[in-house]
Amino acid sequence: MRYTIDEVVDEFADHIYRAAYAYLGSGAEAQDVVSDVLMKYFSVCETLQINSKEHLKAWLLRTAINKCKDIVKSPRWKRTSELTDVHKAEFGWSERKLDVQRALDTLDEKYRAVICLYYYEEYKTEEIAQILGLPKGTVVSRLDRARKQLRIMLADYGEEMIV
Amino acid sequence: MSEIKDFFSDLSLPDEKKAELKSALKAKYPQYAENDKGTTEVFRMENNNIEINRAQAKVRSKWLTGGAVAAAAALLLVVGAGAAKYANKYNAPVASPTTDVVTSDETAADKENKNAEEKQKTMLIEFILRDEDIAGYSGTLNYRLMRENEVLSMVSIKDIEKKHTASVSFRAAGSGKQQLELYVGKNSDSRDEVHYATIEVDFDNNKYEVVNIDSEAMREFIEKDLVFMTIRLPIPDDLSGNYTAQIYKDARPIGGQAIGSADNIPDHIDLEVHGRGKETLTIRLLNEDTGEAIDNYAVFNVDYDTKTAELVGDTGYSVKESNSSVPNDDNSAKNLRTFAMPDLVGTDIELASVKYDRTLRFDIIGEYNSDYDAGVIFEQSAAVGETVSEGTRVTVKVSKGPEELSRNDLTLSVPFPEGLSGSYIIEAYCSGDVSYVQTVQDASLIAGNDLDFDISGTGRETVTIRVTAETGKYVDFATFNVDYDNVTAELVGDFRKDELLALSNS
Repeated sequence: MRYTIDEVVDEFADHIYRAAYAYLGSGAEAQDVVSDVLMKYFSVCETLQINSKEHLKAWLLRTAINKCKDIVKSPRWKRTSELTDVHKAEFGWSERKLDVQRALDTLDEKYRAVICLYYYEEYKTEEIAQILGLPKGTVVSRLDRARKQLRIMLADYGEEMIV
Repeated sequence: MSEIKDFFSDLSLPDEKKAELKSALKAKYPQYAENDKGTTEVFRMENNNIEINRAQAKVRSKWLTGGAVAAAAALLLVVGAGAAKYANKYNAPVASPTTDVVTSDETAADKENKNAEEKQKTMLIEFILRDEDIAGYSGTLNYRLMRENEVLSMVSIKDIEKKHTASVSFRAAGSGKQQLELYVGKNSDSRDEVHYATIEVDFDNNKYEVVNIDSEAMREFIEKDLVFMTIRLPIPDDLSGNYTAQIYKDARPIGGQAIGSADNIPDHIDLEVHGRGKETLTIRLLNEDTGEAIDNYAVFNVDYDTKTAELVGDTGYSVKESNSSVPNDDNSAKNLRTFAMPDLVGTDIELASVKYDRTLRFDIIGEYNSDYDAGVIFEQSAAVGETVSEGTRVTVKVSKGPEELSRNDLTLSVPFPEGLSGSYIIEAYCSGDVSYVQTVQDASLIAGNDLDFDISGTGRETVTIRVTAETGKYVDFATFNVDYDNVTAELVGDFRKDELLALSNS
């Protein structure tokens, strides 16, 4: 299946951005990931056997997560991540939203990606396993641990926010 | 949870960034700048949303010169598993070599029948384990896939409570449509097992469906060795009306007992419960006359091993009882009740917030603490015994668990070589036991990428990553010597890349 640049950007750029944001916690870094992933897609799309939009989305998200992993491993990232709060707060966010953001920030990267795919993209655990290249059991246990942590972090909201 | 979903929904790539990206992409890849609909012939298959345009069809037709076998293979590539079934419904407006295979209804159908008789097909059946069905069980479980009296496949999982295994995969051979039965046993004695599920398998089309799961039978089987005991539930004198006691464990109802008229109860009733190990049970009192309920009437810590049950907190129930169900009791609105501050240290925060949800308000501070498990309160701002009134805000410190999460967790990154294709079962054996099972339907998705395996344990262990093809052949792709104490994993020898690729090509 052949998709045009407009189609792919309009339909999938936000999804890639969110997954990368969830993983990296930074808007600027996430933007770079979106552009890298799409560049890669169009450079190799002739050789890919992608036959549905769902499949394409999974491929893009998987490539994005791999890209994020590389970024996190790089020495540059280790230096910048010490400056945490500087680039993470965005203007005009409500207190609740900031709390969610802070709670997500305390999670390890590997948990954030799972949370994003599960709650936002509403993938099933086996699909997340495919995208992240992880055994399903690992996804289930990561999701479980992440939810436990979030539950404690967001405990102030009590029943309003049941994780 | 919707907050998290909203959080992500609100994030988006700014429009100007999108525009920037589009123009950069179009400059570099002008061939994808716009849709060439004029030259594209799109056709659809029945029951399938797969679309193929002419450009791709042309590429494929080059491969098809090899004749019927190659054609069938290419078809599978196009639609994935299950293509054969639709082959005879498929009126493909494709020119050239494909037509002689796919448009001739009779030959395709005949071939299909013949193949079914002649050869058995092997497929992978993945069964998702349901935690709720095996919760509370520790030890080995054997999953046995049967066709009538024939065992097709068996998977044994040791120490199931310690594993993160979420599914078991079976390999089964057969043809046509068959009904297979899944049995579960606690040991190798086949008399001690239970029928758990029925799976309908369509071997020809590589499809299966779990048609029936007998959770109830499974629970009963799992619970065979449970301890039965009674717990004493105090009933205050001033309670009147017909009640039922409902027993909850982890917010799930697990039983109930009719009390009848509370006026006839002297001071307590006995509730029958069963379980194993230690459990926390919450009792909800339902007024059968009004339909109102006292949600957290009492909380018990039950220890089945010693057959003891302890009522958590002394005052909680009477406070709740009086301000809850009786509608004409408006005294409680005028005077805030006071009571002695309970000792919350050591209590799970979730439990405490449920138990005191009408009496205390908690400000929670999460801190790392290695003496208390995550989620447990380890400090409270109001002293035990201090008089507090309803609605008092109490600051509690809740443990986030020990600070260093290193807790002998480590991740093995296993690179899978480029060029890998086909479907596999990938298993990680920790000291001989399967601790992870994953089915990979399309290995080209993982080719050239790392698969991560999260493992945890203590001391030293040998972990082997085994890749099994549909044919049943397998390769022990990598072996690691893992030292959990020093959090190191050392690869023994090399990744057996060539053997794996040989498996992929055979």
